[in-house]
Amino acid sequence: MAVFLPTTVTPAALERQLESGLGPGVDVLVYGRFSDFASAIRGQSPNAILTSATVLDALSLPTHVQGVRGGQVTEQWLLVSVGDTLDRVAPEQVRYGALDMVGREGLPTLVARLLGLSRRPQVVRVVKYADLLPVLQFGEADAVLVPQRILDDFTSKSRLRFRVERVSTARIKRPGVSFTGPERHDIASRLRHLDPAVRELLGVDGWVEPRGGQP
Amino acid sequence: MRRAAVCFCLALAVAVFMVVSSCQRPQQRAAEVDFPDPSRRPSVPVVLVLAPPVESFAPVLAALRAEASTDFDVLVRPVWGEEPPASIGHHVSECNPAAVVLFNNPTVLAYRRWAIRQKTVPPALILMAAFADQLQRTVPHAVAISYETPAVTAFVGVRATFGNPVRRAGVVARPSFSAYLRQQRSLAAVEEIELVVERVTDEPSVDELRRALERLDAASVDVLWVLNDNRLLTAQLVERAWLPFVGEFDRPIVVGVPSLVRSDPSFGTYAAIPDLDALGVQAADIIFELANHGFQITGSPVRQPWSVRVMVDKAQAMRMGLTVRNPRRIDIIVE
Repeated sequence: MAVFLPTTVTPAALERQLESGLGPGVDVLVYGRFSDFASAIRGQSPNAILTSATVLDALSLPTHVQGVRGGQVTEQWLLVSVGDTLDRVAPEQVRYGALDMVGREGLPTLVARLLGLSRRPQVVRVVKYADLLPVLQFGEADAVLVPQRILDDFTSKSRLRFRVERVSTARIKRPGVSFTGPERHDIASRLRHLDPAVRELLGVDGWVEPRGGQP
Repeated sequence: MRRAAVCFCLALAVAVFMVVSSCQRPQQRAAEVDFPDPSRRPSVPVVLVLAPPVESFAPVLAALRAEASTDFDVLVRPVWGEEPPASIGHHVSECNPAAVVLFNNPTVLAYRRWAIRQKTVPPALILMAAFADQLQRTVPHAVAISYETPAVTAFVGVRATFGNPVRRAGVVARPSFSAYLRQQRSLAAVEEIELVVERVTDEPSVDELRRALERLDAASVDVLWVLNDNRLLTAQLVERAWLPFVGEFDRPIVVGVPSLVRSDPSFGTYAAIPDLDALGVQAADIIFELANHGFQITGSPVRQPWSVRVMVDKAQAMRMGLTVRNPRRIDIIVE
């Protein structure tokens, strides 16, 4: 199973937890960078691909099993800036720090969609959540996009005076799975039995099968 | 104890020498890695990478090539740093690059010897070079990513890892580090962290260093930051000043070299070292930024690296009464 799911833990830790949670017989490979993940999908033909369904969409892969939380398929992301920075910068000049979920070329389009912008904005691309704080500290970005569920964690370690904005369109699909091999029923069943700690890490509390995407 | 300390000093000397030499000292030897040219694509611009063909640069090169290859042919040419200007000129004329990437100080110096004689040069991106901010000013049409992890990144990491409020960070420094510390002080101030600097002379004695460390202890700093300065980490200073102090100190000690966290006896509690994959991505994005501006340098000429890998000496942390709050976020835990 190829996995690309930025979380607050290291890819190695996520890999250990998923391997342990899914049990013997499922080899899990967690990728820390989108480009490595995309190359692996092209070159290694994994039996299953676990990533945000937004990423599956970007890769034109079907979502056979969709993670949900509180019945919601998507999760809210928030726009976090420091002080009055966004009031001082012209809207078309704002540089947005964003986690690289879909590759360099697709990321500005994704950010524009999330924020309801009519044009591709300037995007400062980072490869893990932990890098979003430094781009604010160093003034490389004027605002960053952060999943709501990690906001407290994000803000608690810093003394910056954060301003948090909720943009209604800033919603990313939760993890989903696309199957390419014959083990799909087995893996789907194991996913449903992941322990709560792993599901919490993934940001899901259950799995559904989207219409038309049944394994 | 004395034998262990001597072994440690030797290991430390090697570690610091390796860090410094990877940035600064050319040592021509057999290539450790090979980066064969990709199939050249007609009308695709070239990014020329000049670097020693050694293992330590491979992760950054691999990530840079993976990210930039959509729009550029990334060609790597080995440079050890002792080449004459004509040799650099040969690489540039052969590849006709839209931009050049320079790895480590000797490479930058070799490139500079060639570049200052030219009327026009392509933009150059300096990577993995010590004190790149000072070096960048001396190279025509250059931009750089600092190689030293900003101290504030480590201080905030200590906050998150151990849950202790870091408000004052202490550091011992020689005069030649003044400009660097000014920059670090300003970055730390963003996070309301005060940098307490104890200055020592250019070649401090054991007693001088010991007194400086004692003053920092008395100043109630929340964390001690150890600079990657080989003159402050000589075998004698480590054995007779640092180790006795570190053994008694009860707050986190931030270091910039992995070996200092892996060491026996313990030295560093926490290290934030550059994430080389992410550095390659950041470098690729600067190349794209240059391309978007007609290969002119528009933004800040020196960027901070924003991604790190974290190492923690758990045993030392426990001795200090610190608990690692979320070990799954630590890249390397030394038990």
